[in-house]
Amino acid sequence: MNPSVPGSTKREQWLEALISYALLGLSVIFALLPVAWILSTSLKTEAEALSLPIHWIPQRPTLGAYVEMWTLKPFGTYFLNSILVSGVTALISTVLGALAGYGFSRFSFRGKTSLLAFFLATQMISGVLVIGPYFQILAAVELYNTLTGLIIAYVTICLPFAAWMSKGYFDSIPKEMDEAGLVDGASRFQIFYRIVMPIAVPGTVSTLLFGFLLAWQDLLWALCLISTDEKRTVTLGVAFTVGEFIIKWPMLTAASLIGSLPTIILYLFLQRFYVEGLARGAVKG
Amino acid sequence: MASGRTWHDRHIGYFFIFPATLMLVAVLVFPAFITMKLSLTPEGGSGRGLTLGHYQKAFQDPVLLKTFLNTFAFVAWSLVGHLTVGLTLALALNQALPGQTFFRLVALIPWTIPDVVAGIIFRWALNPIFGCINPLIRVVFPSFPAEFQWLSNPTLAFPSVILANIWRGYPLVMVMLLAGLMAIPRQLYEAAEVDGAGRMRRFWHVTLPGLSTIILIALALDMVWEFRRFALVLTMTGGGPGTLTEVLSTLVYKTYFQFFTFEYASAMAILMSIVLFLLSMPYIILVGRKQ
Amino acid sequence: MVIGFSGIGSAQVKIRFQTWHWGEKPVFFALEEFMNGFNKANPGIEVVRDDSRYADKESVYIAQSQAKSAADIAHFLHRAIPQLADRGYIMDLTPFIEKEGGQKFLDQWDPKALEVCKYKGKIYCLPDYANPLALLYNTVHYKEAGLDPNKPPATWVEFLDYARKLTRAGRYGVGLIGARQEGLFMRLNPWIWSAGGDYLTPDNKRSALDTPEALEGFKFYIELSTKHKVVPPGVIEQGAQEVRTQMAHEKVSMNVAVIQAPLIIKAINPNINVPEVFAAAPIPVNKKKVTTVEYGMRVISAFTKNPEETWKVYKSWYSKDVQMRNFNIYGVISARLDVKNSPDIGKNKFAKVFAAQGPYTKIEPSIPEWPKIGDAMITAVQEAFSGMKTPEAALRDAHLATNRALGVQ
Repeated sequence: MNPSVPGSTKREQWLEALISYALLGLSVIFALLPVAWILSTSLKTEAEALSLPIHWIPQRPTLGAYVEMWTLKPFGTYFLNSILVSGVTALISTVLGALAGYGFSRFSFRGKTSLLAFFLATQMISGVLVIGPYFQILAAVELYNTLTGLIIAYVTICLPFAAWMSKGYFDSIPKEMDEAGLVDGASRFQIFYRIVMPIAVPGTVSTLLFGFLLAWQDLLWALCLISTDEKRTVTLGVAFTVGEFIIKWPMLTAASLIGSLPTIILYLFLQRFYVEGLARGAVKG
Repeated sequence: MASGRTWHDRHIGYFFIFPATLMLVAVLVFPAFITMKLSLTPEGGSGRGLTLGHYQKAFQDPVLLKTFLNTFAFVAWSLVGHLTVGLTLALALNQALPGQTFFRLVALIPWTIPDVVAGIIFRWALNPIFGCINPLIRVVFPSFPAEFQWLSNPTLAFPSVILANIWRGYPLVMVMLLAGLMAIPRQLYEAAEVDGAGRMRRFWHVTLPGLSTIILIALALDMVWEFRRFALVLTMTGGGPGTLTEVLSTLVYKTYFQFFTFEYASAMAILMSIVLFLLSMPYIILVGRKQ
Repeated sequence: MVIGFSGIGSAQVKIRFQTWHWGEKPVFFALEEFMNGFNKANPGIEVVRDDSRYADKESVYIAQSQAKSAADIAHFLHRAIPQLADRGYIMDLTPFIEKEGGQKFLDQWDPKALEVCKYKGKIYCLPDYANPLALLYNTVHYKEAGLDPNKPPATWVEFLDYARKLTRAGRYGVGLIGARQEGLFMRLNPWIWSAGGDYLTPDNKRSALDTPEALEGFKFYIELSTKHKVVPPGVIEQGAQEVRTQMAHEKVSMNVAVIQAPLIIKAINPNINVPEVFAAAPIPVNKKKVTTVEYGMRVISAFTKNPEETWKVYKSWYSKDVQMRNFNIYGVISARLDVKNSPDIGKNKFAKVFAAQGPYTKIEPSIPEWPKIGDAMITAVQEAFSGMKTPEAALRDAHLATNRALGVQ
């Protein structure tokens, strides 16, 4: 972190800022170009979306798709479902993943590398093959066509990633912090959530985002598991705009954009903790 | 630290790992077992003993071999792209510049678009007749052919898919690396400053080492993740032209859900898992050793 | 909703009615009408909609069937029947049909359509609709090119000639499908068959793609794009929907279409006066007059918990009134003889032509290996279109792959 490191000259800082802005400017173009097209399409009528010649700026912009998505299709319900499922998935997988990551990071025990390997290996079997048997389990416990069944699946897919990511972040926090806590008489668990977790906040942010997005964007599991409209997620709703004969381009694009908003809002909210975590890291030690 | 370890010390690690392990075992072991069993079942039904026939078939299947090679290329290029873009942006975003929050949000957006949507949009955008990319290029280069083919072109199809995948996937690596950068204590940079290290040396000797674990983990996770990616490829090209962009996950999907040959698909998936596991061994060992 | 009846919880039996068209107008209306009508007339049974997606119709059903919780009634195309039956996912309807009168009951449907419902001696469904393909063309473009709109091309030679004349600045003669989807071999079939070739030998045991006739048909399809350039670029990316969009925006003048095409084109481009601008004709002939047909049908899940009630719903869907209403709302040709042959069909100029293709229809081999063979065909088409292989080489590879799929050494 260089902004106010003593010693670097004003010129160096200025040059760095310039390069950074140039790179960021390029990244904005790279990231947003497809999004611009998505936005443009969402403001067109279905007829205009497919017409020739191609216009990046809609000739007759309309918010029709944005209105239709709530009235023609119950995207409100879809949103509630998605937020619920994604939020719970993110929380549970982050917590359990952090616990596991801490265990991997701080302790050595027999079979640790094998367990690490096992965690990762569980994700190597193609989801396609896991779905059928998983649904057999669900049907047996009457969790078919429920959001709970979906959440359990998503959490299980996220866990290994959350654990690995957490381990990485915990590894970069010196063990001396833990030792200090031990000397003060804290239990391992208290050290975990009072000392280490707060510093690992930026890592936790990544894990939360990952879990949230994985659950939000999944199509295959939700498609096979949910069969009624009231349980449907936003991504399913978007996928259903692609029918056998018609693709409702404006609604597809509008719903995707609105569907991105919760993650953006989540990131905005979690961002604040970045700064705090940073400051804390700088103050300690 | 040097003192003898109690039972508690030696086993407490297990307690932290236990809840996650329990979930994984409960939910995934049964399906994994079924998959294994399926891959050894002769086609057309169980009850006739186990057979390695599907694996035999797999080794003689020319399409499968080609698909493996495609997948390696796909994953390798995607990883390179993700790491390059992700690291560059993470470094740029790690500064306290005005507008930082805006840039961070914008950089995140590609990740928030679901695979399926990204695939459909890119496919349409690259369409020679109805796509928006060709007209856009012509604004800058008027001599560019009007109905230029991207996904129908045998040479350009794969790069197009990879580029779309890089666009979609770099934010994960970026966010992970950014968090990793934030964890590097300022004192290390300050100490290097005092020692007279310039920007490049600070980067090589402070930043990279500090990030090394995270980079390894990001690569390992991304690798597994990209091996599984299929919605993007499926919607963009369906594996075409011909079998040029067929990857393992789309092939398994097709073999299972379209050809209805569950047994063969299981064998393919098991083979894929084994290969993937072997590829990730270096990561597992390296990460496991880090303390 | 008041649970009206006396007594101890006369719980409504819920029958899950699955189709992938719930999101699409106008099919949606027909489905709603059916659902509401049936529910009103049959208190005690409640038909509930169960949504699936066209692109995932098999995957969803497979996953649900493995959990033994598939929808009671589901919607499929004829190609899926052999595999669904082999895996035991769909119910043999013979007992129900016997109760309804056996052969007399079955006589209400087109025998050709019924054939695809039978597999290994059992009957797994009733045929819902038949979707034959015909040539759709733009009469305005014809006039501009100096062609007579009342004399569509009847032979391949004429077809190529017309296509060349219609290809002018910014416009192409024909829209073809090259994308990896079922629509591709539906459009490829007539050319292969009309040349006298076929995919498999008549006993369905070996590939017949090594015959000169099959090659002739295959080459004709491919060379429309590669040699004669009467097809828009990027043909590998064009699926049925893209081609219809090309027709709707007058980028192409002809395509091989399903009966719903005129309605869809109108939906894509409301500015076109479809009945005036477009017309339909039989597909051009080489040696045989033949076209593809696609059958749609409903099946009953083998795992349904309420077979009797499900059969009631099923029968109602296949009744004359419902089938007639379906035709009027979304225009498919029912496989019920009394609907198919009704004078109403003749009133619609497009339906008339499509329906007239009935005697000349043929389907791909109805065997469980077909998806692999179809997949190999699509690969061959794409490789030939993109120039990766010559048509001969591509077809030869498809031939080998087909024999491999059939287990031929």
